[in-house]
Amino acid sequence: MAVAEAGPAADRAGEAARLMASGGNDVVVRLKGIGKVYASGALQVTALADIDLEVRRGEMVAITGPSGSGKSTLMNVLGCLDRPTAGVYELGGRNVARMGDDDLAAMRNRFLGFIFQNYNLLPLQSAQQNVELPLIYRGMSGRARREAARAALAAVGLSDRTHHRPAELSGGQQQRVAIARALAAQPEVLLGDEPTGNLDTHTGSDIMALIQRLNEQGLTVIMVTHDPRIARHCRRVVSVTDGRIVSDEAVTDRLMAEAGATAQVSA
Amino acid sequence: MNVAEAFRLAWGGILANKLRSFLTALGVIIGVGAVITLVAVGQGTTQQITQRLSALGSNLIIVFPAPNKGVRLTAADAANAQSQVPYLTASMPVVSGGVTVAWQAQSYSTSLNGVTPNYPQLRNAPVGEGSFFTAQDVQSRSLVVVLGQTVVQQLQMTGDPVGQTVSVNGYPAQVVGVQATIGGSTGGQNQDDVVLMPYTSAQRILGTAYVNQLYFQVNNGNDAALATAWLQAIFDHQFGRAQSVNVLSQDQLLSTVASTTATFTLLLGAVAGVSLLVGGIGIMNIMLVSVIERTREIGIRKAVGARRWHLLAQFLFESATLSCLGGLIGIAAGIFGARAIAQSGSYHAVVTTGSVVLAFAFAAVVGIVFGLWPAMQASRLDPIVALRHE
Repeated sequence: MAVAEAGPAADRAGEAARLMASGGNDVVVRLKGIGKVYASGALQVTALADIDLEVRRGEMVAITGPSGSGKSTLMNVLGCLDRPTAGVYELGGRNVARMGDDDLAAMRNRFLGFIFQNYNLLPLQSAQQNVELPLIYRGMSGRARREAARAALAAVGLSDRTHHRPAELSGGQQQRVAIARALAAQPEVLLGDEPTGNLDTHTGSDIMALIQRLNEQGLTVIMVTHDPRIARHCRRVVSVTDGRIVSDEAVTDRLMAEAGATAQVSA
Repeated sequence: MNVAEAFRLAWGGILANKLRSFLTALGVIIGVGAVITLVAVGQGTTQQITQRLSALGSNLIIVFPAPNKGVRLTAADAANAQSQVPYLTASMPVVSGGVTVAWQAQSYSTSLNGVTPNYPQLRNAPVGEGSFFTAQDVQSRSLVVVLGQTVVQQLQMTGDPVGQTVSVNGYPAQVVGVQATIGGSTGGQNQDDVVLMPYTSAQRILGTAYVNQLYFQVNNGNDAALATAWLQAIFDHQFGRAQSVNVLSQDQLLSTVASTTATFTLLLGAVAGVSLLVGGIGIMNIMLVSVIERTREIGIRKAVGARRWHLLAQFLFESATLSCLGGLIGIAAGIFGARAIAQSGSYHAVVTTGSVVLAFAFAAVVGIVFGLWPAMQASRLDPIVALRHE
């Protein structure tokens, strides 16, 4: 289990390098001394303290920890949705820790793809339109956008569902649309927030298989999960407790999810 | 994201809840419609009154006793004044009162105007059939009448009225002529609803030695102000007190009436404008609700990279589109309303381009101004909070 051994990770960079034998060695995400303190009146709550983390291109990292451990806050910081109160966060070679809202939005748009536990699709828009969403804000023209969205939907095996609305799709299909939306923007990092949390084991396995395949193709993946089994699908597990990283190690007995009959991916 | 894209997003938001969008726009529709219709009624009334005053005759000055001054005018005063004041080319005493006119079994109450043969020229009121009475008739106090069209109709006179005898308050009078239709049937006195007679004969019938008004004509409009002042001075001197008579030139009347009706129109427009404002507040209300309702959507959009101005533009375009659409429908409703009122016959209504443009522009501004606050709320949402919103 990834959360088994606590204790400071001594040589994370070296570890990562070992893990990333097959991928590139360049660092995509670098956190240095990241802290997050919420001040509400006289009360100060430390959500994150002195977080150092590097993720290299092609890694697949799980961030685990009990609820209230700060893993969600860490995910928000990684996702450029929240600014840390201390430290440096380099994404794509730029320090985003002190960026304004609009610059953060641009970083999310350019470098990150999100998948959420509850999919977060726009209910009144078709799968195609949902996938086009980040491209609209990138300023891509209509035709290029439609083609990119179609390609992304094809990559997750939903070519025949492009005009369906989320309500007309199963949970697994909705999460595929969300993944396609993330892929369409060709992100540096795919960020998952309990991506299989709302799915049954079988469908969850399909989604993990898809994410693993995308990772094999070179996509960097970071996901938050409280489920040790899901974490074991990753190459590396970072455990967070009380706002600090308590372990950071490679997965030795990695699980490879099998795509079920419903999830035959025709890339 | 360009303007077309923002508009497309806004349009999607409008279509997502059609009934609510329509109800939101309804406030603006009613506002714009009311502005256009009411201003049209105001403008129509102004135009009508102005036309009526112009129809009084050209370069006319009217003198009548000021109320509560104990002043009475006689026919001689008209001739006297004309001889003393230059610029005056014609004068006419007018004595008027209510009479009952009868022909065969029909009788009809109308107003009697005792005038001189100058009348058709001074009042721009030509005779349609027969002829006007003559100076000789005035001198000899002949009982002859010229009837207005309305009187002829009301008495249901068959055949040619000219040559027939009617009874005016019991006095038999011979019809020598019938006026051509002047037209206009609303507001104030109907100029076709009148019986004309030599003022001497009218004085006899009405039992008075005095006249009610003196009409003067100036040779051109530029001299009207001078002539007015001169007439005032002559009569004040004659009666030994200031402001003994009211002297009104047609220009003065026109400008007085114009300013009155302009105020009237402005008032109507302002009342309608308030309803437009209320429509704007309705838009703001709905947009604020919409922002809360769509918090999650906003969070999703922000998560995938929408910047503040993207959301600002989306929501602002939505409210502006609603109000502009409401404005367009309102214009149609306003023109329709004005037509309906005009056709009902009690008011004139003239839709002016100015009121249409003004009402639409106001609606557009209202949509933008009242949409700004909700749009800013949307753009400022924290994406984390918004994504968690249920």
